[in-house]
Amino acid sequence: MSRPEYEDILEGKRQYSDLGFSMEAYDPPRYKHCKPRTPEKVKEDVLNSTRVLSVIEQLAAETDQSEDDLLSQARAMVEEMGHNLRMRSIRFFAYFLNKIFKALYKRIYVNGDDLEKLAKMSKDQPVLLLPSHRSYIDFLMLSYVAYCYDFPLPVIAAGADFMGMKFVGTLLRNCGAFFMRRSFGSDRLYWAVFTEYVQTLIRNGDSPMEFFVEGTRSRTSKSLSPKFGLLSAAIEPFLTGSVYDITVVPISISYDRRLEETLYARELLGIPKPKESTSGLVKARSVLQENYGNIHVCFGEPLSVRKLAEGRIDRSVHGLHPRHMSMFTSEEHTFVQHLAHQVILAQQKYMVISPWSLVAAVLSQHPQGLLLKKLVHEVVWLKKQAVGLGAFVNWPAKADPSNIVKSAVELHHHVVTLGADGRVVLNLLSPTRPKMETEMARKHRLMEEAEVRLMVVTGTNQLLHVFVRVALVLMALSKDRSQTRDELFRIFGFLRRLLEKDFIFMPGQDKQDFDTAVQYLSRAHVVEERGGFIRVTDSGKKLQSFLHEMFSPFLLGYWTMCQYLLTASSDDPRGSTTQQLTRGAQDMAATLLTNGLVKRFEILSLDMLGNSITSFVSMGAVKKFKSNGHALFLPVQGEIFSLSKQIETIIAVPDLKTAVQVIPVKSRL
Amino acid sequence: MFSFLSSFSVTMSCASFRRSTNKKDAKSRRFETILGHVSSNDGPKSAPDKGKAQLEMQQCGEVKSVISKHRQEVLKWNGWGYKDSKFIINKKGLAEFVGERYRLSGMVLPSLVTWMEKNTGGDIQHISPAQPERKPEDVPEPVTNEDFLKDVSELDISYSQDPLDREFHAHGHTLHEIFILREGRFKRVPDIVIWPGSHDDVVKVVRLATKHNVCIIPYGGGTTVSGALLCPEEETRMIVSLDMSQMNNILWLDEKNLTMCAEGGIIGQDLERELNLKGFTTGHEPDSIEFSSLGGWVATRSSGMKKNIYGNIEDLVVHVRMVTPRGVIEKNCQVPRMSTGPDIHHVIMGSEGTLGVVTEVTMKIRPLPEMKKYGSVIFRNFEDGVACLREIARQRCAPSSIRLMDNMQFQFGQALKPQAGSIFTSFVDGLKKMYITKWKGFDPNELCVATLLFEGAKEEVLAQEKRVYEIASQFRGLPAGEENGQRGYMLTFVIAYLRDLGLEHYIVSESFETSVPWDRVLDLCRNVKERLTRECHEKGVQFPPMNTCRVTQTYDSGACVYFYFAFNYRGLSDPVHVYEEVENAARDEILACGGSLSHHHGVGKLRKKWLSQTVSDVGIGMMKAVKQYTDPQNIFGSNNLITLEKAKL
Repeated sequence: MSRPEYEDILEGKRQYSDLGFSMEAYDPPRYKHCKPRTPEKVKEDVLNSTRVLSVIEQLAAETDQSEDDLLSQARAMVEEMGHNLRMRSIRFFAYFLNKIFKALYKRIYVNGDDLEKLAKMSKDQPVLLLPSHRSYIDFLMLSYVAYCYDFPLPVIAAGADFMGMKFVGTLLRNCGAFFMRRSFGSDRLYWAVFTEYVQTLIRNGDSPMEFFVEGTRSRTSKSLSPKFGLLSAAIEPFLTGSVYDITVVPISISYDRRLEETLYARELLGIPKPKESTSGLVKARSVLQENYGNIHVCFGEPLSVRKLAEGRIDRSVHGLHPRHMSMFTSEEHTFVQHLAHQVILAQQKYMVISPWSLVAAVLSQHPQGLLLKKLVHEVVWLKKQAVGLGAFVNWPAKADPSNIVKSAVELHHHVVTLGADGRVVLNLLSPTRPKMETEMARKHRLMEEAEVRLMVVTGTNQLLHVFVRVALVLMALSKDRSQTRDELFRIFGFLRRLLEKDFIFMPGQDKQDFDTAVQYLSRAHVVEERGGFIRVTDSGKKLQSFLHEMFSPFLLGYWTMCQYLLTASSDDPRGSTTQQLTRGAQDMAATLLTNGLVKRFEILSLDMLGNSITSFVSMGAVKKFKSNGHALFLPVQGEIFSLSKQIETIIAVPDLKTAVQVIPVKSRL
Repeated sequence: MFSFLSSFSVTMSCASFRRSTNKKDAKSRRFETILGHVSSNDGPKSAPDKGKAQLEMQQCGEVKSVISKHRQEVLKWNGWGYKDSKFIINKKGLAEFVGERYRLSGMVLPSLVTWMEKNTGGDIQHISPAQPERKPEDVPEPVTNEDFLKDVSELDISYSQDPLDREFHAHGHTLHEIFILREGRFKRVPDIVIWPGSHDDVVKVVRLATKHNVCIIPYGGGTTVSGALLCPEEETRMIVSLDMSQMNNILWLDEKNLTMCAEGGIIGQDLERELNLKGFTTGHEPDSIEFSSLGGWVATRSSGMKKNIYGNIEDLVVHVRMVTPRGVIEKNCQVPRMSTGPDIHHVIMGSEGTLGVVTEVTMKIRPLPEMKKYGSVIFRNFEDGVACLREIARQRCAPSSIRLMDNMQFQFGQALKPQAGSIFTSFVDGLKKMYITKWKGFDPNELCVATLLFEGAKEEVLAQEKRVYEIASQFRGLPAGEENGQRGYMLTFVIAYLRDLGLEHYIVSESFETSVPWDRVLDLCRNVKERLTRECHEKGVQFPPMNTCRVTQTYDSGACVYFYFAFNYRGLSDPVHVYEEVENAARDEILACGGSLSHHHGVGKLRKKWLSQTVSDVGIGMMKAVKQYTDPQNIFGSNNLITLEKAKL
């Protein structure tokens, strides 16, 4: 697949009645070996499966529960889980969504030709649809698109938290959603029921299966590290020879503006998320009065699991155990991990970068705002850089760049404003600060400001995956002296390892990533290599400093966590929870910000601070252990200190010694 | 052929095998047989003595074979089966099976051509003729080991260096080999064909070969489909094809123990005919029974279609003598079972001519069954059919044979319907098409058929038949008549001739088999067919291939599945290579789906590359160690199964 060709699916429907649309003939292709079943029959098949029955038998032998009890538990689970995809609901849903989408969005772009090709392929093997997940809308969007294109409607793995929602829960179920509990680690019966449910649907290919490899919605607009459980369960039927092949389709859903933008910003700052409820959705109706611009739904190049596994996996080992016993070899674990990463990288590749993202990236480096003319100039420059790296930017060739920027600003009027003076500024409260302000009030004011700033940050975030590899090279590269390739690679490797939770890198491909990035930078004359030494060129300095600015908040956040771990938590040998650590570090970050020691509000993000812990664990700087079922963390002081020092060689950090009085010593507890 | 007494004795009946000229009385005959047993009990050390005993027993029975010593006199030199039997396209453009040997012989099959054209994209007008009769100068010059030749000529053993004899012994019946016969030439063929007449002859030849470092490839019926008879091209020594066909006597028959002993070269149909005349059968009926030999069955671990009653070769064999370069290997008794370390029979069975040559086999026999009855069941789809076979296997009530054809094969059977003859009424005709398809809702493009063969005492057969049909009805199967069943089995022998017709019209075809646990049968069948279709497409085959399968054996824990596969190769420069790549891919697929490398065809050279993953490296090491001890000079140098490192030899 080269460049996706998009068409707007709303265009034709604006002149057409919603009812007419919902009554259109719908006759999608079907997987050729599928034996049609009702949703009820699927549940029966799950309960009668060897997998479930054998687990029931084992549990009955090991515990004091009777087989009948266990069977009725299993029945309750499958009832709780099961989808109820039915035509009537689909038509209602088509009517309903058509209305809503026409109201919310200007255009919904889909690469229809590729979807039509996929429809043909869906006859030959079961299909997994794996979309990016950045909004609730993702759930509905794919089914809507499928309906428009006469593509079989997917069954969708959804988090069980939706299930509680009256009406919406039922509607989703009737539209093909099935529900999985967020955590069921040790519940063998649940695991068996769930696995069997997923696999029977794939083996028989009743419907394409849709789920989110990222596991949950990305609040930050950056891709999340993939989860492997559901993907493993979904491709196991191929590994055991139960199906010939499985087609995996990475799908990128890109938004100009997400419905939940404000909500997300609050969440990232730790302002609690309301539980999903129908009344919550109704309250959100004011949300529906707004314009949210365009959506791009891109069906990426379909991946054949069989082709990917060729030469890597010996499936015959599964001849040695009954197939209802899941057994993954270490090659298969690695394979699933790589596949998951490959899917996310493909989602990133086909993400459509909205102009807002470029605007936000520029503005986040100019917190005081910019003259429109200057902003446009910078945005155009940035766009060129992004396109050079292969990004798809939604930038109509013939349009006037300043109009594009203006409409992006207009679309995000809740975040930025184009003032009468021609300046584009963030919608911040008055910068004047009362003379006597309590600590609480100061922090409150800080958080309000942070909310707006983080919305700019999430805009920027859509762009980061495009630059991250070259950015890490440029950050590793000194501003004014040349370095050997090996030295550069070492620092690059350090940064890549440090940030691997915040960005998606293919495991084990650090050398390739490095080489590709350096090669790109050389071709673009950003760096030059002479006699084994690499240095940044004069013309490359701008990109270097821009990307340095763009990515340094991550290092600053990680550094803040280091400082927190070094000062506050070192005296508790019992360890702390992630939440305690991130909250504590966030407090410290807030203090640093209110005292003007740092400028970047990104470091308040609990998401980023949480990622730093995960990263420190994998680098051996924090020890993770379990106590009473809770994960607790304990820093290894020496390692943290050394990490902190390494970060300091790359970014500028405040001198805490001169500001020691502002650091709360025990803010954590 | 000599005649048998119509009223044979109910005790030891060795005499029945004698020529009528033999004047010995019953007592002395019995003595001979006992002598045979005693001498066997003497164990391997007493090989010379045993030779003597054997010589005496040999007079016990001499069988005149259907196949002549110079096989090309009776058999096709470049195709399957008898020279006089083949499919042709007659003047009307219809397929006809000529000859007189089979029930289908002389019949016209009006729908076959259309069916072939439809399912392979072929056109009967396009002809790809084979090269004409082989000229002696087309066969490579023999490598001659003069000392060996001199020593052999001094023995009273028949041999030939005639090029046509040598080439006939250079191959089995894989597509690759037949294609070479039709369009090319072998790079390496045996340098001499030797026809030993007895166990002792074999001992002598092997001894001379060892002395002069000459390579031996044993030759039984020549029906191998694993490349086992191909001469290794890199072999620089003289190669002997040791043709066992003249060792085809039934040495004795022991009614008390229900065993018989025959020489390894006897071919299946001769053995069965002679035993049937005596009122017995081995019950071993591989599809190649017309041409394959007893020794070959042992060497490849063969399987017969009636194994449900009689067992496979490993269940039937009671005693084997094999001549190896190290000496003669055999057990010292003929007992039903023993616990004496690893069973050496299991080293011999499946050794594929790499360790030695099987000269004599004692096998179980059974009285001919009182009743033989065919049957068939029609199922809505293959899934139902497999589920039914599984249930029958679970209840262990499988008839003598039960085979399940998929829909494509069912339709193929329809296409083989001749113009006339009651036995050949098509399935659907016989069943009143309307009833099956309209009233019962069977979809002609989904339904499939199981063929059945019951054997035993009358009441047993009838009871078993009832039980099987009852089980079938649980899987929505309907009885479809005896004729359909009989026809299914009859076609087995004729189908082998079809490949030659295909080859005349740009169609290559082959069959391959596997064994697989029950729960994976359907997945394996589906995936292998899918793989065949996709590989053909990817390798540039212009037309969709024909692929079809059937379940031919049922076991407690799994089944044997047989695939037929054909494609039209017009537009391909190297069809055999494409074919081999596709078959290799299909084999990879079988293994990935939990199937075996082979159920009964063996490994030969064709499937060698998968053997170590099949039996583990240690397994290969064990085989090599056995080879190293038994045949350190690699006299039996066919290079089947394992590849030996040159340095060790």
